[in-house]
Amino acid sequence: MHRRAKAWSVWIAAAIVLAGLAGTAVSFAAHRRAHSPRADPALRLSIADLRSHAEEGALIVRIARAGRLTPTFTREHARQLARRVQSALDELPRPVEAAPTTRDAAAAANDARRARRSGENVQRALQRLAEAAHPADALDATEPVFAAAARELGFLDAATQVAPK
Amino acid sequence: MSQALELFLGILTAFGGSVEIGQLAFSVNAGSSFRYDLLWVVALGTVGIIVYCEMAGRIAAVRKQPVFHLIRERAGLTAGLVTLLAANIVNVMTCAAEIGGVALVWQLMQGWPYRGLVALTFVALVLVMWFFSFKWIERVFGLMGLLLVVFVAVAAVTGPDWGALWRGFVPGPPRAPAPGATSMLYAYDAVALLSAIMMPYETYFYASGAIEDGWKPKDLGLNRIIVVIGSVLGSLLSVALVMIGAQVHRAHGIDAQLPGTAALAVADAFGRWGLLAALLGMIFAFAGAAIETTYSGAYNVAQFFGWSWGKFRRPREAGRFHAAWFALLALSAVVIVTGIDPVSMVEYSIVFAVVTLPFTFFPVLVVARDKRLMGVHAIGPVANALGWLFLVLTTVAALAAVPLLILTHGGRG
Repeated sequence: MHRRAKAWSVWIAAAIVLAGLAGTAVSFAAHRRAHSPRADPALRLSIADLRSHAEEGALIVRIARAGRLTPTFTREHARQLARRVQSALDELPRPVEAAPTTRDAAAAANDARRARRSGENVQRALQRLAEAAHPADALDATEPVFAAAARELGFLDAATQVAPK
Repeated sequence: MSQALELFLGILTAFGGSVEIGQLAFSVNAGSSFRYDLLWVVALGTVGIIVYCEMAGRIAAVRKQPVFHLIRERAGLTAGLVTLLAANIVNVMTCAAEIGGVALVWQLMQGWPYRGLVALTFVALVLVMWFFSFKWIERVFGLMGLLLVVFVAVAAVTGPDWGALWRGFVPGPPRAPAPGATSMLYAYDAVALLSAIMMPYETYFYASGAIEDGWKPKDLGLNRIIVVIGSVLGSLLSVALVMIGAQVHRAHGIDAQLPGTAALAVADAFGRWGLLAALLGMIFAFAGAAIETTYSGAYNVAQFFGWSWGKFRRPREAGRFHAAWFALLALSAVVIVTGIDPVSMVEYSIVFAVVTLPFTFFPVLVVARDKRLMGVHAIGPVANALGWLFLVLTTVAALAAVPLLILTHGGRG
C-alpha cells in the first residue's frame, strides 16, 4: 500500500508539472498566433478592469448620495479603488514612438490612449472622493466623470472583446 | 452545558466561520461573470468537503491519527515532505491574504493606514491565539462571523430569478456568460470555486481539533452531523454571494476586486447598519480563517515530524508547536505587509490549494476505507464510492488548475 501510494503521488506530481508546462506552451503559442494588436490581453484586460472601476465609482456615488454609506467607507473604498485603477493603468500598453504600421495597430494605440485618458479621469475622481473632508460634497463633481468614463470604456471594452475572432 | 446546546453552537460557529476572503471574491465574481451557472460547483464542492472532512474526522475519532501523520506514514518521508511544504506554502499564502483582508475591511471602518492595520491585525491575532481557549476562539469568531448572514438577506431581496437559480444547480456549459467571459474562464472559475469550498486547511484543522477534543468512536454520529450541517449552511453563504454577484454586480458591470465591493450591495439594500454588519462579519470571518490556517500549518509540521502538539498543551509541553504557529503567522504578516494585493494572493493560494488536494485526500481515503485499520468504523459503500469520485474530480481539477490559470491570465479572461 505504501509503495502504491508513493508511486501514485509521484505520477500525479509529474502530470501536474507537465500540465503546467503544456499550459504555458499553449498560452505562448496562442499569444504569437494572435496577430491583432487589439487582441493583446494587456490592452483588453486593462480596459475591462478600468470599465469595471468606472462603473463601481458611479455605484459608490449613487449609494453615497442616498446616505447609505458612511463618510469613512466612501473615502477609504475610493482610495482602495484608486489603487486598483493605477494597477490597470500600469498594465495598459505604453504608446510607442514610431508610427503604427497597420490600421489595426493604429486602432490599438488609439484604444490605449483613450482608455488611459478615461482611466486617469476615474482615478482623479476617486482621489477627490478619498481626500474630501466630506465626501458628500464631492459627489456632484465626480458623478459625471464616472458616467462619461464608464460610457467611453464600455465602448472600448466592446471593441476589444470582439476583435479576436 | 447540554450536548444539544453545544451542538447548536458548534453548527452556528461552523456557519459563521465558513467564508474567507477567497470564497467571497470567487463567489461574487462567478455570479457576476456567469450569473447562476456555477451554482452546481458550489453544491459539488459542498459534497466534496463533507466527504473529505467526514473521513478525516472519522480517522481522528477511531485511530487518533491526524492528516499529516497519515501522509508521512503512507507517502513516505520524501513525498510526504514535498506535500507538507506545498500545503504549508498554501497555508501561508491564504493566511497572508486573510490578514490583508482584515486590514482592508478595518480600513473601510476606521480610515487608518493599511500597513499599520496589518501590524495591528497581527498583534491582535497573536494575543487571541495565545490567551483565548479554542472554545472562545470558535465562539467569538464564528458567532461574529454570523453577521455575514446579511448577505443571505441581500441575495433574497435583490430580485433573484428563481427558475434560473435552480437551473444553475444542474451542471452544464455556461448559459448566460457576461461579455468577454469565455468558456476557458468558466472552467477556471469552476476549478477555483471548487477549491475555495474544499480548501484543505479546513480538513487538517478539523481532524486535529477532533483529536484535541478527545473524540472517540462514539462521536462518529456527532462528526457526521457537524460536518454535514456546518458545510451545507456554510455553502448557503456561498450561494448567496453568487446570487449577489449575479443580481447586483453583474447588473452594474462590476467585477469584485475588493472586499468593499461586495459590501456595496449590502449598503445599497440595507443602508449603514447593513454595511456595518457586513464589514464586521467579514473582519471576524477573515480573522477566523487566518487563525485556522495558522494553526493548521503548525499542526501539519508538528504531526509530520512527530512533535508534541496541541492548543491545549502549554508552551512548555509543546514548545515547537507554539513556535511554529507564531512563525507561520509572522511570516504571513511579513508577506502581506510588503504590499501584495490580498485578493490576488488568495487567487493564487486557491489555485495551488487544489493542486495539493489529491495528495492529502488520497491517504485519508485509503485509511478510511481500510477495514483492517478502521474495523467496523470503516466507511461504507456510499462514502467509499463518493471518496473515489472526489479523488478523480480533485485530480482532474489539480491537473487543470495551473494551465487554466495561465490561459486565463490569472483568471481575468
